[in-house]
Amino acid sequence: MRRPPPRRSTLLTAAALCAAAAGVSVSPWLEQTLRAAVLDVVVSGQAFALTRYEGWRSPSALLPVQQLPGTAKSGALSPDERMRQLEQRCRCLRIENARLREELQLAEKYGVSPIPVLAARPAAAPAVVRAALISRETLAQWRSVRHLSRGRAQGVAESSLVLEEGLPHLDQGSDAGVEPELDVFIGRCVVGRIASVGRWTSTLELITDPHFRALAQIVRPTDQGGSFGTEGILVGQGTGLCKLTDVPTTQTVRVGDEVYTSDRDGRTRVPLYYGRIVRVEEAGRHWDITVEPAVKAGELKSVAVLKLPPTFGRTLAE
Amino acid sequence: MIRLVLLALLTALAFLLEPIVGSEIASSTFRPNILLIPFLVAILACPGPSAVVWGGVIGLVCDCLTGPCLGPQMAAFALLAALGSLVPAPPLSTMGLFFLSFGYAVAAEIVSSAIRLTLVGRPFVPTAAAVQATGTALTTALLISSVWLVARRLTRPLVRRRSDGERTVSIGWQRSAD
Repeated sequence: MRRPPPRRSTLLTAAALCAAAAGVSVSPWLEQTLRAAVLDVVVSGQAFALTRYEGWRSPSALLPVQQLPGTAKSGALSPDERMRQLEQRCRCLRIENARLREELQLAEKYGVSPIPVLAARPAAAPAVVRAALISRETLAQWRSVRHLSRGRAQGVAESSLVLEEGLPHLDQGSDAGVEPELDVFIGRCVVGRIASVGRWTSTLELITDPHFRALAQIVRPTDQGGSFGTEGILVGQGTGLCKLTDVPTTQTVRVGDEVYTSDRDGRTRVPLYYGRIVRVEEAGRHWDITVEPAVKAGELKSVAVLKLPPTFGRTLAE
Repeated sequence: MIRLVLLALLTALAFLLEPIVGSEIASSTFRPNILLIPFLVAILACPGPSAVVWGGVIGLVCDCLTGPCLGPQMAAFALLAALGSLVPAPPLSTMGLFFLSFGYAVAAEIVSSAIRLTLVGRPFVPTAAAVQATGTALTTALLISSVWLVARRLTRPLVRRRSDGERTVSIGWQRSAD
């Protein structure tokens, strides 16, 4: 038989704990501090245990975070750079997770094909043209070059160089296959699109440009990875920020959600990153969503122009 | 004191193993609630104020991990531990242990899910919660009873050997007294 516990001290302890619970729930500061401390200890311990367990089950799963292409070795990286790399890796995994979840939902809805489906081989892979941004000094030199005024007789056409003011310039033009409306990106982030094209140069319309419009999709980071949210139209504001319009208030949108290119326009085979939602306000029947672009125009030195494969071009022309 | 140390180790182990069990057992109804094990062991092994404190600590950690605000599960687990400590318990056979831990686990599961659902504004359906709690409590109680049974089987030879040793000593003492 168990020894009967002291009734009075048990009840007193329970009462004291109930009072402590009430105290904790009343004080937001205490609540936040306690929660942060417990989460730090428990979640990091759980993550460690889970990693060890998965490593024990399948040793190949216990590899360090994969090196991203074009990045330096992680040992030589500063904590900030390492953090940036991990954020990029997280974004890739979230997208992959959201894609797999969407496939799973479709499979649950329509069933799994009884015939094994082979991975589709793209008819033509999209090509990429690397282009450098032209500095203002170089542009000024080009404007002052006399041979621009020599005319067609000397082999220089009016459209050979695009020298519009106000827009960033790229050192590639129609000679390299650059066309208007092509997407411009760096890494996995969208920079903008080609506005006008000359023979040797072209101008870049940044996603923050007031004329920029593009279909975009929200990806919501969740505890279990990411999930695709609703679509909207990304509109540049000319102030370094963008707005995501046409998102009804019936859809869930949160600060911190990520905005990617939409699958529906089919221009890129993988979603590319526009930026993160920094403010959400209700405006009638739609959300007023402010997006902070991932790419800062001032930091750019070179970009990649995504050329449409021939089949895409033909379909669009048709 | 040693019981509390062992309880602390068991609690740490339960929190570490919880995501692993979650990833391995797909059915949420028949998945043992690992976090309840140290709570139940505290009530069964060291009833009284220490079990109440332990219940409060586990409830607080559960609040931190799952609840929208801190306190409700802490208070509920502390009160449950107090009630469990004050209920007079029969001698603990394996079946008795199973039924006791099953009862406490059902109560803790229902209270915990009621608190969590009410706080996030979702409707609490007693029937669904009872089914879920029964499944979870059943597997949890089975796990505790099985471990208890195995531990008893393993420690039985050691207990017998120790009692033999005690008998030898007592015989020797009798001789020297003669």
